[in-house]
Amino acid sequence: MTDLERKLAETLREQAGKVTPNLDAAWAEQQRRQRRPPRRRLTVLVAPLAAVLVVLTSVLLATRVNDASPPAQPANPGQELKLAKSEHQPFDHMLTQGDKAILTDFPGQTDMWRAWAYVGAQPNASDRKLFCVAALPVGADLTADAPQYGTKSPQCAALLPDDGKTVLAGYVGETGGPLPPGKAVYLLSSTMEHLRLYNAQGELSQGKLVDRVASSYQVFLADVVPGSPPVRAEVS
Amino acid sequence: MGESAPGDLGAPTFHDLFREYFAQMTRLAHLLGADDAENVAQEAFVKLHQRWDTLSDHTRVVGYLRTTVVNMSRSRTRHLRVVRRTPQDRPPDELSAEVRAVANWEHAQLRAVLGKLSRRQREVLVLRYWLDLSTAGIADTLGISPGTVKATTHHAMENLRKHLGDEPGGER
Repeated sequence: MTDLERKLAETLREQAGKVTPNLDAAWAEQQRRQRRPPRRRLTVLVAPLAAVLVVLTSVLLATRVNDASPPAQPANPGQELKLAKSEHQPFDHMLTQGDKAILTDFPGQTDMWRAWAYVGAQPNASDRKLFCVAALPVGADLTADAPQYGTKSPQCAALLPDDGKTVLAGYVGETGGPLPPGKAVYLLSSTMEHLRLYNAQGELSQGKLVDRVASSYQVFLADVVPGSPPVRAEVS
Repeated sequence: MGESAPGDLGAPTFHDLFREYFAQMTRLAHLLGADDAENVAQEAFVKLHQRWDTLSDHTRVVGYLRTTVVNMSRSRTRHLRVVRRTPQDRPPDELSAEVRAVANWEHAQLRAVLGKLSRRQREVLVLRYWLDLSTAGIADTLGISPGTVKATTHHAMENLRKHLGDEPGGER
């Protein structure tokens, strides 16, 4: 044994010698502890119970979420949109009336295009107003000799009778059309300030006033869900 | 209470065992750093009592007690480390004027250095130099291989020398 080992053993003995338990008291305590009912740590019991509760609660919540009916939508808000179907009307066969409104710019394959909205009429039926949307290259004026976007531009639809409460005409953007998918444009009388649109799923799109056209009409543009056009509208 | 281990005529009763080993187990827990050494020893005996009827070889009872005390002391010191955020159990004793005298000074130094060793190194040294256990006995108590015991002992002694060399007035 080295000197260090000897000193270590002495040190440990000395340190241990300071502990002098009272054996009689310790035996009494030992007997008391032996009579103690076997106890488990609270966590041993509580932890599995808590885990089971968490799982059950999660399952319950998940079940409720699945079973829950979709959030209550206002029952058929607004009025059903029954607008005239838009059709392609060559621009040089049209008479435009009043101001035109710029709706939006969008990219084509090589150029940027600008969508316009205007009110017009066919020369042989000047009292039958049409709401039209046309797309021309950005920077081009809305004239008969300006190139039109694709084969569908312009798109025109007859206006409904103006009772001051309804949407008069509209066009929902489409691929190859003068307005890109995800956009829709509506014509309202000049007394209306707000337009709210709802698709078949009840999802709301807020129309934004773009401009006035032909003196007595207002054009509203809205972002809509592509493939899910508005079917109802509230105007106020 | 005080019953013999079943099927082992002449075996010590529980009470005999308690009186013979309670102090030793309390000291062992104390040397391993448990701040409630007596409680550790008491609980070790309670565990032994719970298994008393299943023990057939009383010669292994003391080894079982030692292992239980080592494990419980380990849990306790780990808990203390978390609670106190100190690496070891207790600060070294204050060095009184008497302790500074000659041999006691060395013992105080050694106690302080022991507190700086790793848990396993300290366990190995206590079991070897206080309980005089063999390498096999230490291995059995700690649940490690004899080779690990030897290596740990070697490293522990190296650390002791190193730390004592670092201490002012320590071993040169």
